[in-house]
Amino acid sequence: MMTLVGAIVGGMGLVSILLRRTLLGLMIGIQLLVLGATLTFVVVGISANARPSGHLFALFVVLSAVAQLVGGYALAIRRFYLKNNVLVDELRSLKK
Amino acid sequence: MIHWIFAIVLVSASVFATFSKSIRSSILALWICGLGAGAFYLTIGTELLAIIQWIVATVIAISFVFFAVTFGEYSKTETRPGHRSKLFTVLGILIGVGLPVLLWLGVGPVPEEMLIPATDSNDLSALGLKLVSENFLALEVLGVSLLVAIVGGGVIARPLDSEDERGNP
Repeated sequence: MMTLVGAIVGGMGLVSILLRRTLLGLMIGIQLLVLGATLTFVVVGISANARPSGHLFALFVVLSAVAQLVGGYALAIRRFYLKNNVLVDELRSLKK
Repeated sequence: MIHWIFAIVLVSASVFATFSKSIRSSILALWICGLGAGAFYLTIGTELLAIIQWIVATVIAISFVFFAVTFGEYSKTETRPGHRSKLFTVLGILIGVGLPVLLWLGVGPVPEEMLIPATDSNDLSALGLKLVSENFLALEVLGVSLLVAIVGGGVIARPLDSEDERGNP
């Protein structure tokens, strides 16, 4: 059942990515997706008798999510400079 | 078992973060999700991952609050959260249900007796040694990626000062 928990959290992240309208909402969805993936790595690592490897892989996933967040914030700031909002629907170009 | 309590908290918070009307509640729910995941890691004896998860979740929540306030989104509420075109709604439902079902069918349940702290290869020194010996290249790549992301983020988000970028002739 713990596999299902990770999968539900990841699935909610995907739903959030599809349904949210702002860049911040999109990034919250991506964070949920990464959290679900991390949980799945840890739990599958346990069930496959590969505890430390699964944990280390999850560690790398958690830390690389920070890099993704930095990129997302940069895009959001750029968007806010240009259009004064962070809506995804009208996001077509990062140039004025 | 105590990890089931954290599992319920995790799932509830993730659903709330997805369908909440305000970004403020979503950020709070995301933070609770991170704390719940860290607590779950602690119950299975993964202290290092738990501490890192807590730190990362807290820093992420604080940065979300900062940027939501900066962009003027913090107090806004969506009157119809999650309302999109039919295609997006159907895709969302399909993915939200399909991914858990696929993973559940593909991976299967983890035996309850395995969800306990491991007796070997569980201490911090063993994990640290494994990190710098077997996974040293991955660690280096991760460090360089974080550096590039920070520098690249600064470049992308720099103020627009040239006439070309503003689109003026």
